[in-house]
Amino acid sequence: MITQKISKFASREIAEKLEQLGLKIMERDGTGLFYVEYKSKTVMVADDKFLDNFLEDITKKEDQELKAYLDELSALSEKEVVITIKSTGEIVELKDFEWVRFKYVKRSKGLVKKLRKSFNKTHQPDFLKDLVNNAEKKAKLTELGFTESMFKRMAAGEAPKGWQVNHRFPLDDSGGNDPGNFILIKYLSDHKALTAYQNSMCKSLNEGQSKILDWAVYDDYVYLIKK
Amino acid sequence: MANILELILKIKTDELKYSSSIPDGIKNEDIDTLKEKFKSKFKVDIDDQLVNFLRTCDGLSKNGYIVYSSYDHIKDEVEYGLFKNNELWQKYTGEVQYIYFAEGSQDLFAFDSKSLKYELHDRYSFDVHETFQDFDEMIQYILNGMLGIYDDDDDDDENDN
Repeated sequence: MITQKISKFASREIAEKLEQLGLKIMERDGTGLFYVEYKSKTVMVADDKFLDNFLEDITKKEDQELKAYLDELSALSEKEVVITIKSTGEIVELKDFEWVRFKYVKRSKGLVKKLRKSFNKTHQPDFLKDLVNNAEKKAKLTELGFTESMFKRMAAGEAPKGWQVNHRFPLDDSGGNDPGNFILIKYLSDHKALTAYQNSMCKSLNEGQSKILDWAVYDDYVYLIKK
Repeated sequence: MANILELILKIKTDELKYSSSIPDGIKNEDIDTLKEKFKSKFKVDIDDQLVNFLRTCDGLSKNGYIVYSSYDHIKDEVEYGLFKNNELWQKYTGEVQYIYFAEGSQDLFAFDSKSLKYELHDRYSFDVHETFQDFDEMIQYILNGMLGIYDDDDDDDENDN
């Protein structure tokens, strides 16, 4: 994950409090999303408004209360990502995924439609081309078993067969079309379980509504679901 | 249908660049069995337009899109079958309202058995982003997507929140 540490805050009081608590705020590659690190783990992902609320909270809350909240977030981030299928009780484990607390704010359908089109036409092809053109990333993909034929497709801006490009944080919410928000993922049945879980968390929201929820993320650009 | 055939031909030609091919169509002798199985599983008759597509090309995968095939089979760990994929979607979502025919990086393509419409759903929110007048229109959209061809209308100002 390439991030930039946020060092400037409007309030010195907040900056000192962050240091005292061992909290780091990072902005991910111009995604507009901020990653809150606690005990060296990402425990929360926030847009600017959610971050503002969080920062305001940490100056107001009593230390005891604040510590309990941060410990709760820390425990969440260490919890295994398992999805229970309601209809069968079956458990699907997504290895190496992590939970982060996240505020889902539903965008307007018109904007989502534009972002979706832009993703299809420009951002997805560019992301795939970059994976091939970047020697380090290409070497990692080769290790995972990607072949020259797959790279040829990717160099043309096409997803390799059996793979899709997903958003870590959806366009329907505050997620954007920047490469830092993309993940190349194989479409296996476990992927469907994740999609169904994500549907169940956010499909009842109307435009402008928000919901704080725990979201499963994988912190890299490629994921082959591991058994 | 002519347009669909042209698009399939383009895909076939494009696949040759990668030393790959597209699947053959379903055999005539298997169509009645498919029709019966479809009716038995989904409680509706199979759409003739779907059958026509499967006759030309029994499932297709390209550029993050996958159109499910008439028979369940796994290739490179990926399940391509219509029935198995629907079984999985129904198991995971707990809903039987939709029949899924295809998916893409952002999209799920389904028939809504209540509204009787073919729809493109956003993969995450399940919001409907396109409604198609029939299966043919939906499959044309998908085939264009496989080729990286998208409409140029209302382009692409991402900043107007």
